[in-house]
Amino acid sequence: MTTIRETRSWRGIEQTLPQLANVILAVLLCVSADITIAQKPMDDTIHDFLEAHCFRCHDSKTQKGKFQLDNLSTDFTNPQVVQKWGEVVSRINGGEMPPPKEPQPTAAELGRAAEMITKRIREGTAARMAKRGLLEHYRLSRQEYAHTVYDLLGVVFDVEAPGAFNEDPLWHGFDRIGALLSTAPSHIDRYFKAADAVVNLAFPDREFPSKTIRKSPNKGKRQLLQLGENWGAFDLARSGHYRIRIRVSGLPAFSGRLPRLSLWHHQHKKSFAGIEMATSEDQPETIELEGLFPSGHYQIRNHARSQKHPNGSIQLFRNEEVDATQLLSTLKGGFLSSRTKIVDEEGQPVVPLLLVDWVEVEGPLATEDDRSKRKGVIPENEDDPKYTRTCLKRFAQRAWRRPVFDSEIEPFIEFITAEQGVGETFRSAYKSALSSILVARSFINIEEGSPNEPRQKVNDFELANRLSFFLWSSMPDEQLFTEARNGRLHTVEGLTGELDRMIADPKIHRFLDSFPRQWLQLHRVGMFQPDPNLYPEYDPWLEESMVMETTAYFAEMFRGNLPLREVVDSNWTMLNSRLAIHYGLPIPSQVKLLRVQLPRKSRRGGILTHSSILSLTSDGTRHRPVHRGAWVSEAIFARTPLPPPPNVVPLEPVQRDQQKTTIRSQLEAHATTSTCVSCHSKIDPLGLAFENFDAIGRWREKERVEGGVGEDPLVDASGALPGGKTFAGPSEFKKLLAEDDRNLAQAFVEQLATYALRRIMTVDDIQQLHSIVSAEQNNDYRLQNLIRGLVMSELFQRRGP
Amino acid sequence: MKQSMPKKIASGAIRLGLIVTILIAFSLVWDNLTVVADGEPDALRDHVPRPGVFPPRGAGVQLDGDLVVSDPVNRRGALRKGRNTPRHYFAMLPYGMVWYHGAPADVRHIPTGTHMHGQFLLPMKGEEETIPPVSEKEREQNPLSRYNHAILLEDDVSFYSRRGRSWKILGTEQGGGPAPRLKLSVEPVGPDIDGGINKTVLLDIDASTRVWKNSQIMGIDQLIPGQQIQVNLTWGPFDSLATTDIWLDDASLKTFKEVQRQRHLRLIRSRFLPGWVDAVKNGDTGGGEVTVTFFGGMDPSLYTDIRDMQGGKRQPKICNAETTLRTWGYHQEYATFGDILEWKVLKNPPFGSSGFQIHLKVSQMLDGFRLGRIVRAKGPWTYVLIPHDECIMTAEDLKRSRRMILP
Repeated sequence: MTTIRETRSWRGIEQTLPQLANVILAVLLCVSADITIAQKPMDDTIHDFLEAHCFRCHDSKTQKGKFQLDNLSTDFTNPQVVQKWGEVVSRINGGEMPPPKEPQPTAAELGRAAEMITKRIREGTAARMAKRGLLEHYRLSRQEYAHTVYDLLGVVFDVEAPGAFNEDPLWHGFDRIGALLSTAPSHIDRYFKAADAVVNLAFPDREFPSKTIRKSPNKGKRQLLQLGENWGAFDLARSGHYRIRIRVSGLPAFSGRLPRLSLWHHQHKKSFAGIEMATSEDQPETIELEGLFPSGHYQIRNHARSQKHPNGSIQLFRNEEVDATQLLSTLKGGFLSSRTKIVDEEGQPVVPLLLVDWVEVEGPLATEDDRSKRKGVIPENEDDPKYTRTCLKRFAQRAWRRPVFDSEIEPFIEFITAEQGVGETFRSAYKSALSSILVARSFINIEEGSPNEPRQKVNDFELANRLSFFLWSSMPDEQLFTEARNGRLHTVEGLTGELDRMIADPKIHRFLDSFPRQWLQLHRVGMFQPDPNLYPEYDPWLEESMVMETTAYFAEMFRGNLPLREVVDSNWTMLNSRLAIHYGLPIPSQVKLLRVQLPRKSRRGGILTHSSILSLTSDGTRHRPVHRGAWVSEAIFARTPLPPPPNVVPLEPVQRDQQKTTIRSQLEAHATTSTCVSCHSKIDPLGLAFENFDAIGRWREKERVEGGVGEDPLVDASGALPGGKTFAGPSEFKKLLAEDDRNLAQAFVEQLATYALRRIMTVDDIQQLHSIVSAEQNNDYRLQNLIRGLVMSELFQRRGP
Repeated sequence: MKQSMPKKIASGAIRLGLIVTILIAFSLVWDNLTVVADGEPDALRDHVPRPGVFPPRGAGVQLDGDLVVSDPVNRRGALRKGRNTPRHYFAMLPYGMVWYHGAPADVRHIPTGTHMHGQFLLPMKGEEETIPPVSEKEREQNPLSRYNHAILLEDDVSFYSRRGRSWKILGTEQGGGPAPRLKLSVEPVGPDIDGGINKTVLLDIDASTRVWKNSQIMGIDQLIPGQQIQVNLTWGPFDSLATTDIWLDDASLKTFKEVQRQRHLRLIRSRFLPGWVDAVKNGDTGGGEVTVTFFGGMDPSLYTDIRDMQGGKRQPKICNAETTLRTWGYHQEYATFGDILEWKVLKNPPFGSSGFQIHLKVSQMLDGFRLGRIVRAKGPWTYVLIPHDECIMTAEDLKRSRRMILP
């Protein structure tokens, strides 16, 4: 299919003189805002420090190293200036400056200087990234693109398929920061391909009727799947909405460990649906999984561990069909084979087992909802140009999520006519026009502002988009458009009503899943796979469960509108059987992730003791207290610590002839220079509070030390917060954080606003953020209230800082 | 090569020798018969071995005869005593030991026709059908046929030398009759041995008899009265004791022993060291712990090879095996790695046991990791693909291997 390139250049808008004046005014306002943020002079303290220790060698006369500091600009929005200040910080942090022969400042002075310059650098960066022009484009993240095309046309487009879309760049876990989501030529090429694919999926030239296929093992047999084994179940030629039924028995192991049936996508290497099971062998269940599935090959997997043997060789798989008439439990003597053990001497499965009878796939299903999204997009009457224009305009308005001028539609009409003139069918030409609408910048970006008018607030349609992409990660629905069209979104009643409706809509799960993943940087879970020799218990299902615990915990807090302090400390969590085993807690009675009241001595409660958080702040071999501290600082306090100085010598493993010692002891010996001490004294206590948890989040009293002589040392999780409050371990630490719920709320709202407004918060936003938080101070800073507070705030409707 | 004739012995003595030989042969059979014929219950003799438990020392009966049927893959065979005696079919117990030329061996290393001595027990529990029942007539002729599971099998040189016994040459004589043969008269040197020849005997020698000295074949002229020798025997005409090999010196015997030792090392390194499971601890994610006692009758280096892997970079692998010690197809691949948690040396190990026990933490629990079941462990040895017909590939293979098919 041919497509036309996006040619819209706002040509319907003529630049008149008064409008030009507006533009100039807007530019001046922006510049003025930048000056307020970044060009303020250096604080006296830092100026005094520079004067005392730097200017003597780096003034206009000496310029040692050809570096002059006394006249260095303080315009931190200028990247070249920032680079020079960055060099200054780096030299101070690295202990190179001031040189040893010069009078030395105290460690505190050095630390403060480095910290203050870094703070200014970050303010400048934030101001630069938050800077808003007259018209801004925020590219959709690929996840948002997928949701948007589904909500627009009822089409499942696999954005993660190889070659589909580039991975989005992250800023502290957030994948929707407008300043980072630039559009490169490679993106454009992919957008064209994607648009063609989406239109073809929505309006195929050949219908793909829904059909049902069933796959079974050989007659009289059942497919036996041990842990980690999979069975090639079916292939989906097209992405879409499918209903998958599986008749299966899920037999728990003798220990109570449950099997997890997963629909494993072979190409994506991840599970797209699944269920934990506990059924008897002779009474299989028929389970039904319905949802949106990308095309590709699917396997039914007893999802528990990887195929990699802890020692590096291939695992032993049976992959066999068993006689359906013979119960496994009767095979107490074992199977006649050289392979893995199925049941123990009592006839109980040694490992969780799945016995699959058949799998049935029905689809692609076209629900009434999906069909209604496509209704009226392609005109039924090809010979009515007026109706064609109406259909195209209606589609463009939905796709571009704003009112569309006739002049914007005209090129597409001309294109269709031209294509027909050279022999293309109307349908083909019209589909090309639809594809072109889907590659227009108004589709692939969220647009805010007007080219000819400086605006400080978003208009109704922009507000509808903000709301929708914040809570649904997708385009507004028809009602939201209607409210925007009627101008009701800018009324308190109108906005509140829509907010309530959107929170009650099932699509809210996109926010409940996406926001905690981005805020808490859960993409880092499993990034460094734990060494299977050190952590043989770690497996993909555990990894998946870890993330599920945290996202479900957030969702539970949201639905219950719980006080924010429960983010860090609570007496409950969300558990499935895999996590219960991992935490050494009783296995939940139901075979699903559910809220569980924690025993008093569980040592869990709050996301800081979730194994997801504890493992994402570790590497493949050991826990990383400094990383943990930095994460707490970033995610919980919304404060990014200073970057480490260059050429930091890593910790050496304990040598064979050395006494075993904890990482904590090594760190204390490691922070040798005064600048190291200054910074680590703030970061490390936040991480050392969790010394009782190993690299995959298990409780421990002793730290396992590879190499060295003597006993594994006891861990020490005590410390003091920067304010001086002391704690003896993780429980006391969590309590201290929970007590300071105002700070928690302040940091949380900052993260929330970053996600919602797609930009980094600057110093100019602080007052607004304070207001949102203050409004909830007498109400325990409840989670949903804070979200509502943000949406109802002036900040949410403001175009820039 | 023409050989010079040694000193002759008087013809009267030849006749006497022949009679003695026949009497000895007859007495051996008679002895066997009398063991059972006395009808007295004997708990030690009639001990029924059980999986996972080594039998008491001295259990079962002693028998000897030429190995006339050999099923090396399943470690089975048959001995035949004399021209008119029925075959004594047997299976090796999983911990059954074979010695040949004074070194550890496997059934496959024993040439058919070799005269062997063995200790035979009743079938192990669960193995009663391994050797099919013999006919009524055969059972009458060989009441010991039901003692058909061997714990020990060894050739003459191993049998006698291991007990401190050798032979002293008295002289040679030319036999008469329809098949005149040269006779070597020898007398035992050393202690009397149960189940052995404890009297002066005449051994047949001819051009097929290999005389070894300085690890080389010599002529029979090297047989000098007064010389101490070791021999290996086989059946001879009229149930005489025909001699296949005569070792005149220790150096020759040592060479043969070393060759056989190396041959057996090569076999075990590719087929792995057998043992059985003493303890099992299942894990619920597929791994677990297994304790194995290795069987005896192996070269000590095989045990130390595995022992020395403790704490090293390489780990032993362990796979399932049948009571025949046959492994399943691709046993190398299906074997699971194990961390050695403990290497234990058992005091006063029972006969059949090596006295070495290994406690492993394995990453995969295999079907065979059950109490009393047989496993084989791989040390730091070169990967070798073994012939398919030695492996059990299917359940049908297993069925056929579990019962001896008589020729």
